[in-house]
Amino acid sequence: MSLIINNLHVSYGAIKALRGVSLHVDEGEIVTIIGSNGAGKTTLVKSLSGVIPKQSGKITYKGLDLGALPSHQIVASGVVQVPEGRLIFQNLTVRENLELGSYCRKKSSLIQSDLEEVFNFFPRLKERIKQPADTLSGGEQQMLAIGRALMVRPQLLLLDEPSLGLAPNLVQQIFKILKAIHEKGVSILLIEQDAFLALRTAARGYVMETGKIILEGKSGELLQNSDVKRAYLGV
Amino acid sequence: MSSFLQQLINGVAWGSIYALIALGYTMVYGIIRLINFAHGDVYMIGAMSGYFLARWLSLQNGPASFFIILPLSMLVCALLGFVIEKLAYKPVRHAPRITALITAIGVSLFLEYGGQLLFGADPKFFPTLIPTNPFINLGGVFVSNIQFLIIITSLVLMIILHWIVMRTKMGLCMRAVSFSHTASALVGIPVDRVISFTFILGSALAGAAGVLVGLSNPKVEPLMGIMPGIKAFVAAVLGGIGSIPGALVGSLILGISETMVTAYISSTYRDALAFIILILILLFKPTGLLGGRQQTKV
Repeated sequence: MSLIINNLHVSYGAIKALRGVSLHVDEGEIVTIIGSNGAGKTTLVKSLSGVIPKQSGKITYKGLDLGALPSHQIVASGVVQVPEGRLIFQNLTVRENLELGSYCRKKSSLIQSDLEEVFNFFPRLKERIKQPADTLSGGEQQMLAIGRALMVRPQLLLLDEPSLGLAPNLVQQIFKILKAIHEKGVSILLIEQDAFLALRTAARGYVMETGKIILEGKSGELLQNSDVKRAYLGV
Repeated sequence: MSSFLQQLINGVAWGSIYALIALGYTMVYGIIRLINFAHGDVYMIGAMSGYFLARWLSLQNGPASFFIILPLSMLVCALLGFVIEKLAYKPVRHAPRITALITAIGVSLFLEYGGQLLFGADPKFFPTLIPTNPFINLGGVFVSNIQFLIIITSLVLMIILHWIVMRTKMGLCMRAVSFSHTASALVGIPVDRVISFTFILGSALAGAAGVLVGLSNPKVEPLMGIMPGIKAFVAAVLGGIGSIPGALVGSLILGISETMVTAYISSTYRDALAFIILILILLFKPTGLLGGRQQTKV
């Protein structure tokens, strides 16, 4: 097991957002966390990335205690988040956004080949390379956010709502690329509100509700589970 | 006409000094949204350290001494800026913004009155590093060698700054952090280090301004940073706080208008002018001349 979260608690002041979450992601897996708004999914990835402090519990990645590290060192260890709402640098060009993704690495010769690899996944970004990022469409911005994360050479990619605000055909396109990225050996933890899409993409899934994991299992099983069907699949 | 041109040159020289200070204000604001009210006092420390270094190294009369004093004073201020950020601002970074603002005022008072305690309240006379000479004569308009040096030194420093911000990896990180701390941290940028670097850069520029002022207005004392600090702040707001080109434009406008008011109206109104400009800009264009979302904010 590469990522292990054990009994994680996070609060915003008096409000408890996570109440003892435990989960794991094995090397090379795609795992999804589904759940409705306010279940604590985004809080979970934020605390994984060190953006918000945890109250108690343990987060380890390949034996490394992530809970003790600042965000930029978590990134350097290979755990990279594509945040909800994308958070691309609107004031910079597409190229600059991508270059920032490779901040941690020193060898500039590798950066060029990494750029080429990102353009293989997202040819559109190459056409837009000199444009300021705020001139991109929503879909292109999501591509840029994923491309920027790939520039870090992630081992575990944390995706927070990659389908948010995108047209259905774009969502399909993004998820196809996510599978291609996974085939290159990147593990993925996928946070998604579109439960059907998420469970068809991932091998395993967790269901979150009010800060707790209430259900876990193989995606196929969860798709058949009557509670999941009723609450998240709308069947 | 020639007297107008003469005033214009004097104004540009003053404006360059303001610009060096205003850049520090605007960069720090761009990166942590803090009006660093202690910045004018860092400029004072620049002038003071120039004074003490010159005495200590007993340097006088010659451009060589200026080129030793300038980088050393910049170094002292860079170090001071680094320490101020680490000790005073970093602990309150996640507190409400008003907390940091009050902290900045506290640091400012500390430097001013700590300075009086340490250096004495009496004015000191900056040693003549370079004797003043009319350097260029453009048909009755004189540019003194000191003014020339002030303008050229500021220009060179600003070109270096522009290069750092637009062409280096650290500069790119500064622009990224100015956009979002969270997004920057998530791509692996050590945000704390970038903030420290910004304070170092801004404070070094203020230190340079201190030494340059020592050349032309040799009276230095611990409270000398208050007025130029406020003026540079006004210049930064005028140009659009957070915008580097804005700081330059605002400073030149302020420097030139001040010398014009002194020359053609009355020097009594000189200091009032900055505040009139501040009130007008806040009333009619609070984002400043070049401010706004599409500006490169650092």
